[in-house]
Amino acid sequence: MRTLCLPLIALLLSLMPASLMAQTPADAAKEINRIKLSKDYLYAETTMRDEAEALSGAQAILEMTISDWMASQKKGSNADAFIIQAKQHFTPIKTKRGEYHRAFVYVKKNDIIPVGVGSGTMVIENRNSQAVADEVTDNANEGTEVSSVEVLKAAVTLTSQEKELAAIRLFSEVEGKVKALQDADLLESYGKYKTLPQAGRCYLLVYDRQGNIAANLRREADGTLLNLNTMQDDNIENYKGCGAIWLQLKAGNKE
Amino acid sequence: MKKIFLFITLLSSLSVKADHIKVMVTDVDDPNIQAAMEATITVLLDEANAAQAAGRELDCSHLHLADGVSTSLSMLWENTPFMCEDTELVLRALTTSTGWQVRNIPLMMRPIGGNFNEREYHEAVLDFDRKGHIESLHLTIDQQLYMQVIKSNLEMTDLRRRQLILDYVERFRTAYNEKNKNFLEDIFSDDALIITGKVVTQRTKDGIKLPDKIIYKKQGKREYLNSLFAIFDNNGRINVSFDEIEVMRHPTRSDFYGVTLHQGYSSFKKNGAQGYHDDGYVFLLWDFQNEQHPQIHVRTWQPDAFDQTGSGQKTRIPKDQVLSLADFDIDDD
Repeated sequence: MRTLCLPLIALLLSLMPASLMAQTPADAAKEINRIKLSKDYLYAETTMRDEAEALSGAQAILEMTISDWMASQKKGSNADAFIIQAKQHFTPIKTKRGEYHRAFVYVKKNDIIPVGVGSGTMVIENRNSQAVADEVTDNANEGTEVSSVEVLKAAVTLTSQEKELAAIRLFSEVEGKVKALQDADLLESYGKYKTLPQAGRCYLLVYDRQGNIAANLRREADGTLLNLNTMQDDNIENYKGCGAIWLQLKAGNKE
Repeated sequence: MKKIFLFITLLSSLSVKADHIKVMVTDVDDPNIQAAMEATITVLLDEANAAQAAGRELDCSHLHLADGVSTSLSMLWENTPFMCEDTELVLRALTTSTGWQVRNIPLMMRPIGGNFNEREYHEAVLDFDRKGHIESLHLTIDQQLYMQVIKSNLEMTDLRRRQLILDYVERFRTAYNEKNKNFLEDIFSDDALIITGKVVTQRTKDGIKLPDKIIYKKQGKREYLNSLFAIFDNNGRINVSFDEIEVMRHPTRSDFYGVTLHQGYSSFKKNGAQGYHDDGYVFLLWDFQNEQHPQIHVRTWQPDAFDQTGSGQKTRIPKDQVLSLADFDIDDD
């Protein structure tokens, strides 16, 4: 009996590693197929020798897919603004086909059109909205002090770059501005609000759900915020429900 | 002991199931047609895998394919036998004017008992008619080239049109490799302008090297195809490859596209020996006014490099000297 069992156990053991190794790609493939079968998502995929190229390729195709889908849904002509927002929700699944890398990137349709949709792309949260409202009321009663701040801030001079940032009115203009700053080698870094650096001067372009820029802010190293349009101190809590893109310009670009 | 045997039987049955590819097609409104498409793709891929495993020819007689599709499959199999390693596929069907198109069918090119120097992974595209029968089959262009066009700035050109252009560029390429005379007859417009070139090496009587001379020849469709088909008949194999692509949309004629390709061309004699080889730029002026029947109005070839000074060293021609859409006027009629 023992003699008979040993070859069988050896056979079983030889089969086990193959099935275990196949587990992870199989799970990935299963998840990909689940998303493909759902009508809730837009997706794209590529299979290439280079993993990074496969991923960037899939993202590029997904951007075009979103653009085409927006056109088919007649969701407005400003697809670029929505694609920038949608990219924050791109989710990749990476697996392999032989020696090739398969990159699958998907996004939930609800995350593409933020207008009128639940949490959407809200990145600025106001956990104490009642308290803030009370503060605003209190400040409004201290007219003299507010006036003195206005006089002080009016003396601040903006650089030409800051004036250009202050002139941005639509979210769709942000991508072009970022690219222009990059091309001119003036941009240190940029990102979405949740990755806002703690240190250094940053510029915040706060946008609402309709794709309008709600505020153009300058955040100083000490955390204070200057509204580049009103030249007044501002507070991020004033923009509940909005999203924001931050930019840091290269040092020495202060004119 | 019985438990062990039971486990082995279970494993064997799982392994048998894995040989059968499960295909799910989405976005088809008629469930009967959807089922027919799924069944056809499944049978086709299962047959490819079985033929690969057995080292035999592909047998699609039970698929009831149209003659053109059978021929495409045979030529594809002859050049590069393929298989599908995925066990479950979810494929989106795109609506076309004649039925549906199913893209992204993953294939691995696996020559039977031979070396394969080209890329292994390809994707196939199947066109179905309104009844769910396969109308045509072709491979998509290399993913690297695909990405060059997807990431380029083709104003107002949607993903579907880009895919269509690239599909036809790939079909044009494979038509040379497959010596598909019918496709080439069909794709060139009757009044097509074709410019071919050759590099002539020059020396003085004293043997001093002079700059190479490029001689261009202007031809019509018939003259070019007669010459090309003679080359097909006199050679064992032709291999055309593209490794760079640039697509430009005509600024005013939105259905006209200029496609510039860096092409490698090789011919092999009937005994398999290497014959002729050249590298150059091919420019194609495509007319997609009728998407079901696009036409090529212009095809030009230029060498990518030649001895421009007489030094004996070949140098690449500047990019601005490569023929492009801007070099051709399109008449309105």
